[in-house]
Amino acid sequence: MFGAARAIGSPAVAHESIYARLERDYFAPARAAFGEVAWHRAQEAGAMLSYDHAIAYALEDTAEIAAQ
Amino acid sequence: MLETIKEYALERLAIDPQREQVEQRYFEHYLQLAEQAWDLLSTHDEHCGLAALDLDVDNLRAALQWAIKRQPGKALRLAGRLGPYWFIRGDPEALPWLDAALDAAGEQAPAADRAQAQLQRQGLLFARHQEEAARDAVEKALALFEQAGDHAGMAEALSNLAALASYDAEPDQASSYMETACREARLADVHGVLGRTVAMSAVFGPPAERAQAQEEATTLLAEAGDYRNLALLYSNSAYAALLEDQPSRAMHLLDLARRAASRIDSPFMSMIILGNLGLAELFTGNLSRARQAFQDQLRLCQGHAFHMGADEGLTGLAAITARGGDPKRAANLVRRRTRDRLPSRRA
Repeated sequence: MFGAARAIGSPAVAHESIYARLERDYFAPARAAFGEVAWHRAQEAGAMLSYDHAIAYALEDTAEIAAQ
Repeated sequence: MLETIKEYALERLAIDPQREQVEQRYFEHYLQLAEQAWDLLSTHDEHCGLAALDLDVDNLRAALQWAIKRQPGKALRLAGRLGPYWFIRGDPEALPWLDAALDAAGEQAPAADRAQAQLQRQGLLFARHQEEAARDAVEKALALFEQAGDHAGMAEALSNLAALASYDAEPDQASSYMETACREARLADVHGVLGRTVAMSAVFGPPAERAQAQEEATTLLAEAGDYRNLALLYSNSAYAALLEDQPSRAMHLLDLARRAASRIDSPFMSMIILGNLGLAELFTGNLSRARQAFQDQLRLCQGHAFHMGADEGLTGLAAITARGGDPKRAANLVRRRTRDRLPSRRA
């Protein structure tokens, strides 16, 4: 992401086009295989998690998944 | 100081006829410390400024608490000067302190001090996904800096408006802000401002002028010893390379960013660089290294409550998980923010 000038008042900016590329190359094929309804249900369930819980969940066993 | 000794000293102070003068001197001492540290940040001696404030963080908090009740105008000055420190350290108390100081000082406080506080509120609000409040804060800051005739402050506020315009996918608007910001920065005779502003222009300024801006900014920031913004310049340029589908160039720039960042102690900067590194590795097909970068990014987010970085790290890991054949888990992790489009604003 982009970060802005100096430590003071620094927003950080994530661009839509990066997300669009992830969507095209990674998420769309997975969603097509999994099914739209199931995907959105799972996404909504994930969105209910607080940041702390989502991060803990993400760090749980990503290594194992990547190895597969 | 031992707690018992501190309690005894406070008891004695409470009945001392010179209590008011003692508290005044105490406040003035810590205001001076914050002013000195402010001058050191974004220089070769940044670590000295941070260390000095780390050592007296409790006293600074007590001085600020006292001033909010007794001398709110000066409290605002102190809160403004502590802003960069709070931001670097990721202090969750920063926003409440700034709000309290602004409320206490009111509109009779100097415009420059109110502007500085608003500018810092903006960064803290934006990091919490409160975009409208952040925009409101930086627009207030710009108006107050204009009122104060503070060219350096105007350059900083306009640079941040450019970043927000870029976030809103309004590149022409961002370029316009940056052109004005650079004009103001050249009018300001304040250490470091021109380098920081030109560095922003290298990313958000008019496309035809970005290469020249990058060269100028690199020289200015290196001369100033501003490794934080040098790292940011390289990291931002790397992200721009990713947007132009040049992940190999992004990797090279991120290597430079990491070298510059190794000169400072900034979890926030490391978090930004790691996220960009994760994306660069992902787009070059190295999922294992991408995973490592996103995990490291998330650990920093976890430790410092950097929610915006968490979005990026979670979504990056979601992409890897999707490719790894676990779509349910990928869908659980993916963060896709939907935002209402904001009306266009002119510089």
